Amino acid sequence: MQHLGYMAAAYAIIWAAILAYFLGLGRREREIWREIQALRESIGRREAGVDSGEHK
Amino acid sequence: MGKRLYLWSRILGALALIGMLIAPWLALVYASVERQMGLAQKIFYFHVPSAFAMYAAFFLVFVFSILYLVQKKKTWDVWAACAAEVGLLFCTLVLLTGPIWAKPVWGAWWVWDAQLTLTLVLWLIFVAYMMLKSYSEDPLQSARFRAVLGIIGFLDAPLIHYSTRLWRTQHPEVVRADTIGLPPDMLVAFVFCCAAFIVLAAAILARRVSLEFARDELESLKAGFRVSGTETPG
Repeated sequence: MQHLGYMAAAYAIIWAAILAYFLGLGRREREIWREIQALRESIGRREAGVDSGEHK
Repeated sequence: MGKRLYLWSRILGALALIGMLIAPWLALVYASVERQMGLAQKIFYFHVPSAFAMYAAFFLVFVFSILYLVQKKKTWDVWAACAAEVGLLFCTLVLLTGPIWAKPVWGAWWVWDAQLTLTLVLWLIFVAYMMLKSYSEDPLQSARFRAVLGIIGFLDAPLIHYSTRLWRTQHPEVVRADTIGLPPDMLVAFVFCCAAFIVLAAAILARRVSLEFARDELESLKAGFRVSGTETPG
């Protein structure tokens, strides 16, 4: 079991770095979806306002 | 294009996940332990494929940067910037795992050998590339500068690969096009790990670009929303 610690450290770093990158990517994706949701709600509110204006 | 790319990112992501689950088994269990270096040699199965994934990503930066300078299409700049980010990730992995392998084998974490130094230079070039993207105020000028930097940066990659032949370096030359000095079991594990890392890099790139396209679409939707009314979302 010569140099087991070095091997374990290298593999742990690689997996941790890839995982951290994917988590960061996921966070950025969630931010965009949140903004899209906010935009949809604003569009919905505006359309509802226009519709009620037309009925008057 | 965004939806198709997103679908591709999912397919490649699934393939990469399967590959990255099999790769450690091949590297740690299937491939025999090298007599002189012991278990430290196992780092090779992730260190060298990371370097290949890095070369592939920076080659894409080179190609997309040329296409951007010729055609001036924003799409190429997006692809180049995302490929640069992927390349930087794998370059970081190379620079982190290299010293961990070097310490038990050479007795030092780092030596200022041509291959190591040139890899560090490449990493610094692409850190500068990412900084230029983040901090520039003029997006068009930034894209132009980055395209030039991406082309110059990639020219360092062949130098890194061939530095072991061009100069007397401490870093070994394990992989050559004509001869690969590995026993069959190590070769199988090595080739599989290289394929898994390339697929992983492609999956990350596809997902990263689809994210960037979604952001662009969102920004244009927001702009349209602002033009058609006074209310702003979010």
